[in-house]
Amino acid sequence: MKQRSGILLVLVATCGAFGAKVCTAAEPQNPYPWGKAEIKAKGIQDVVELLRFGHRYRDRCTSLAESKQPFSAIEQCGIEAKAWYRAVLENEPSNSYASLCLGYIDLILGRATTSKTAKEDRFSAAMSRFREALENRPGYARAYLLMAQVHTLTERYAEAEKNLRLVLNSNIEDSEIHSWMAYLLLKTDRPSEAHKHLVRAIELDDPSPSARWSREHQK
Amino acid sequence: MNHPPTPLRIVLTSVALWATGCTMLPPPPSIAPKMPRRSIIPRSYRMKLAVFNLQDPTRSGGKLSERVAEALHVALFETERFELMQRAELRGIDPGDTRRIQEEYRYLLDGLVVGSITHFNTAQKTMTLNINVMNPLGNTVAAKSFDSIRYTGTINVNVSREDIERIAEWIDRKFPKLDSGQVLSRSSRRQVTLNLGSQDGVQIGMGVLLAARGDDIKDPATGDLLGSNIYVGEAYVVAVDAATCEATLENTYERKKASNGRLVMMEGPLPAVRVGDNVVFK
Repeated sequence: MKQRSGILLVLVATCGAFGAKVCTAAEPQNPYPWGKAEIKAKGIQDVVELLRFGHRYRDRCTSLAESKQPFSAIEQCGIEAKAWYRAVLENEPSNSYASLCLGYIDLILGRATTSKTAKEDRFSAAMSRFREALENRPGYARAYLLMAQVHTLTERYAEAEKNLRLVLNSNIEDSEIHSWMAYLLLKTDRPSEAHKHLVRAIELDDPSPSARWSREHQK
Repeated sequence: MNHPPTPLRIVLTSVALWATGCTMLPPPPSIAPKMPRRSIIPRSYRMKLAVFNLQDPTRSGGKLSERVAEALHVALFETERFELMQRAELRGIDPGDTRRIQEEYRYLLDGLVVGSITHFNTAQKTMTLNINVMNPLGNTVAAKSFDSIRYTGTINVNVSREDIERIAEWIDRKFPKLDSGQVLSRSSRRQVTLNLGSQDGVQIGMGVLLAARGDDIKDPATGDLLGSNIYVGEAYVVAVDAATCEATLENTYERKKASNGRLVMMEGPLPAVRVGDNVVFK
């Protein structure tokens, strides 16, 4: 009993002496100097500026996910990006774009993780952010598109198709919408319909990643 | 090592290929959403003018310089074409103090109506007016006229209403209300090309509102579509061709907190104007 409490005491003392760093050594290191504390310290209140900082991490998060980097690195960028977007919501609670970006980060993290339960958690967090965005800005086409992506990735094809048709009937048309529609149709065994959407995606926006994906899968 | 016989190998390979072919289709990339364009509050929805007192280098007009300006203000209002800045504030401004006029009204107006009395003919009771409509941002003359107007009286002088109305009509004709157009290209950070030109009535100095299609706005009671344009920027025409014109974009203005905690209007970034945006002439 005496021995056990002695070990515990040594552990507590070590943690106290070396600070939180030792105790959180397993957590990924933050490669960027920005975080929520920095936001407060700098007193940044301009929403556009906060969004810009968020985008810096969001884009880094996307490119890390695209180049299949370790999940911990992608997650770390996602955490940083989310801190900025949450700061936007603190200033402007009805900023639907910040909600959309928060959902997008969860979508990217959900796609990148290999753990099934973590995937489900991320996707459900993303969906609730997209719903929040739609509450504040009904008819937000990008929110419907991202919702459709989550539905497709979780194999809820009927809901995904409903959302994608809604976006296609709105005033927005780009290669991303068509490439996801094509993917959905390929998944539901409708290759001839999918082909039309692949062609349209290439026609609309040739240099974009969606158009590139469409070109690769057109045949 | 024992391999399965060739036909079985073929079947197994095809099954494997079919299975991987179906499941290996990677989903398309998820592209980060773009920041939606923020709507601006335009300085005016119709061309906004201010009529300043006329300069009187002849020094024989007395109160006439103010009276002409008052009459012109009323005549311009009656055309129903322009928004007018109230005269009360403008009465006390020395028309010769052009620097003050430029600095104070630069971001409030689309046109400054300034001018001078250049000549008096006491025998015929006429005076010659030089009227300029200035663009406050470019500091250029958008329209210029020399006109002779009649006056009556000697001590209590009055100007001819018809003559003043003629000047107001001339300004109205110079800046007609035009059809809406579209942004053809963004030639530089600050410059856009529009698809309307001199054959459509475009004049240098005209102000335009740039509108983008936003979310569809529906009437909450009836569900009818009310409109979906949001104003994303303002510009003024600087060069005109037969079918196109060039316009310079104006900076946006944002309410920001200054270091002393007070809210001030500060110059924001240039408006996010894109090719295909609608152009509404003021």
